[in-house]
Amino acid sequence: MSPLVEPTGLQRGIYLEPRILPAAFLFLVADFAPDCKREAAADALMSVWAMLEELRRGSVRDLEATRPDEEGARIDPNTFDALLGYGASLFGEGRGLTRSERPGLLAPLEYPGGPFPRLCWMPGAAPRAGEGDLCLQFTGRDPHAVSRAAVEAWKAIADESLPVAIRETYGGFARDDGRSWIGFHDGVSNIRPSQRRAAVECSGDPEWNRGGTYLAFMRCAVDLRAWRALSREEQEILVGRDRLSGNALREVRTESGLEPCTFSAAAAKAGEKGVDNEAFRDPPETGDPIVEASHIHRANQNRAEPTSAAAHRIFRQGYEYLDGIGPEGPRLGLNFISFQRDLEHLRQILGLGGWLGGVNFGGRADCGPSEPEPVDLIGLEAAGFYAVPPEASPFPGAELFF
Amino acid sequence: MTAPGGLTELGVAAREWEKRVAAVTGDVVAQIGMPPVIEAASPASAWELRMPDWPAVPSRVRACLGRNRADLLCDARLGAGSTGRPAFQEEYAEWRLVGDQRGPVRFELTTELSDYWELLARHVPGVALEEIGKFARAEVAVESVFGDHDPFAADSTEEARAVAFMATMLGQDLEGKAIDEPGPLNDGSQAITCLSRGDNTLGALIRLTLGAAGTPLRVVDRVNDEVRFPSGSEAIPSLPRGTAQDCRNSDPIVTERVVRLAAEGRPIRLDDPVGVYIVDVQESELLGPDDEPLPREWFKRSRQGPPLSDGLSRHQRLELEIPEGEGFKLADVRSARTGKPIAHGAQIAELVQLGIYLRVGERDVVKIKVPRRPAPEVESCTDRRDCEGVHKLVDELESLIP
Repeated sequence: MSPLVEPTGLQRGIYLEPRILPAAFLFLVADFAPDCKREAAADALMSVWAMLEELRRGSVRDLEATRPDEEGARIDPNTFDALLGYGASLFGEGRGLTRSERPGLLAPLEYPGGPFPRLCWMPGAAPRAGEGDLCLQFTGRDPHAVSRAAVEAWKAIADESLPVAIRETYGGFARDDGRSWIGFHDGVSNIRPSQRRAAVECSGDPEWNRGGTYLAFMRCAVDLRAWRALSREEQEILVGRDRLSGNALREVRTESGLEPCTFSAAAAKAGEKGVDNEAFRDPPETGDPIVEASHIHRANQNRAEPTSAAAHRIFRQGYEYLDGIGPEGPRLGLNFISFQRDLEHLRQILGLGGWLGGVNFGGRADCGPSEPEPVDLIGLEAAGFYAVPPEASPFPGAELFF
Repeated sequence: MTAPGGLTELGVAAREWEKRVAAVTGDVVAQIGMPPVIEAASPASAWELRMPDWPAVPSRVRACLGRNRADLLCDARLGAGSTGRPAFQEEYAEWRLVGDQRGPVRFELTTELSDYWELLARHVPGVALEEIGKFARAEVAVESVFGDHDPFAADSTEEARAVAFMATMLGQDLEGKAIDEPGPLNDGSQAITCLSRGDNTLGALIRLTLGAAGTPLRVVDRVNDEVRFPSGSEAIPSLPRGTAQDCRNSDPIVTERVVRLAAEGRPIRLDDPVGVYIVDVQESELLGPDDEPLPREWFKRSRQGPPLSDGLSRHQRLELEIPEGEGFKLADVRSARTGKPIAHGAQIAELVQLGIYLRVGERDVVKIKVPRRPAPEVESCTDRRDCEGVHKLVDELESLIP
């Protein structure tokens, strides 16, 4: 058994620096065998993690030299990042897989009507979809890089008869136009780079996750047909931005139809140095209750420091997906990924009535006659919460097992 | 000016509340000056609603001790008195958890300001007794509210009643200085009537609001040099000393919001009636034995007068108890966010969102010079020196708990 090495910081795959995300995403969910013992679980993780580290350096096990006088083939190094997380079920009573108790808020999301007041399971969503003992998030330069990593993990499990089974995977991709499937700018008001580490990094409680984080995965199906049935004005009111420029709305005039009005001085590009672009990126409260009920205001009601518990700051890192197009239209949506030092913040964002606990996406539950009614735009295909311990050797979170 | 919650029980003495608010404001202004944005505010110039809101559960003690230990200590009692409440319940909300041998049976939370209750005792002692009797669910003896003083005697004075009430119920003199232990009708052993901590007062609230309103500020981001509004934690060091405490839930949220409004040159005033109100309760986060959310009507909100024309919620008290005949008790209820049964008041307080109402005017109405400073580094609440004090206090408490 390898000696435990002190944790060294957040795992790879959490991109705190302002940059475009890696193009490809694959989320893998796995469970240990029911009769798996702690030592066997640790050995399995050690083996898979070691393989992924080798793969990241360019070494593929099937391409190693096996005949005399031949050299192993190599692939490009550093084409993907792997991140390992632990779900609530790993800590299940009676399983004895870990030396520590389940962190309180790392709870299963499966209960009737749940998991959140206005963000509910899609009809037919499989039990525990998205939840497992483990998750592996692969992010990489292209679909091949992340798919290969997942398949190499499967090979390692199969070749060594490891007591762990991959149950499901979810793919996705980053868009390079800064927009989402609904056509609007997305991620503009994500937490500032200077605040990200504080929002993400755990400071203990439990001690084994100090310097780590918590990951929330929610595969959100978007009803594009319902969205496209809305007028541009209705869409802008529900989002809170102009569809083309991305400028935040200042008010909505209703005297003669719906007329969304944006902040006129908000044309600056987000992130431009020395420029007052706050009205674009981080719009102020407007006093207009219609604008205040829009998605961008509901999702982000204050800009307090992440160290303030009441701020509910999280760092989002989402990837879109398209599952195909059938007679009913495209099956698409967003793999919502967020990292936060405390899962309470996401719970509050999705639970509070004035935030996203009041409506599914945006708008006023008690809207006026000319306003767009809140649309049920998003449903959960899969979701899970995971603890993501800091980078460590032989694998992140090893101290849970040893 | 209306009494907190729009309550009408002060009757002909209703104007006394207005005088009290004016007097407290005058004291604060004498110490830190009158902010121009406050001076410019009137119902005509400041009408748009703003609502800084925060969770009722104390965040500082959780940051220092971790969730499990903090939640346990918030309810801790030594002998007949309450210990956890005065030590840790610092979010303008204080609660008690009533239990039997099997665990908790009732949760009661109040946001009522002691200034108001002093006025009730001073001017309408019979009403005060009647209301406290409702809290205690029993007829209360005059002496348990007024000590040796008979508030109905012919020679009883307003001042004597106020002194007797504050000493008996809060263990304080009229200046708020501790002189004794709070009585059983406010220490949680028989009832909880109003807020008791020195920083959960009308004076603290006004000081916080005026301190932030007098500190318009913009900062230059440390990472991307962007000029932006400061977070609460970034602004608090610039506020007059003692006006805001970082690492609470309430103060950074209120500070951030008010500093930003002030920097926008908006007239600002605390909405009438001044108070701290319960603006949201996430009822769906508590599950009964059937895994269904508890019915909303079991969460009894009270201490609000006739609703005002703006329709805003102004309740100041929350009680949760499972009705007789349901076949289970609060101890059998499970938190959806942790999956664990309710054992501590903090598990319910974290679902209660509090807020204050502000009224503000248009931007740039008040011509104001807004200084620009480099954004200061913000230290994690877990790592601050404040935690040393909390740890010391906890060590003392834990050594006393059998």
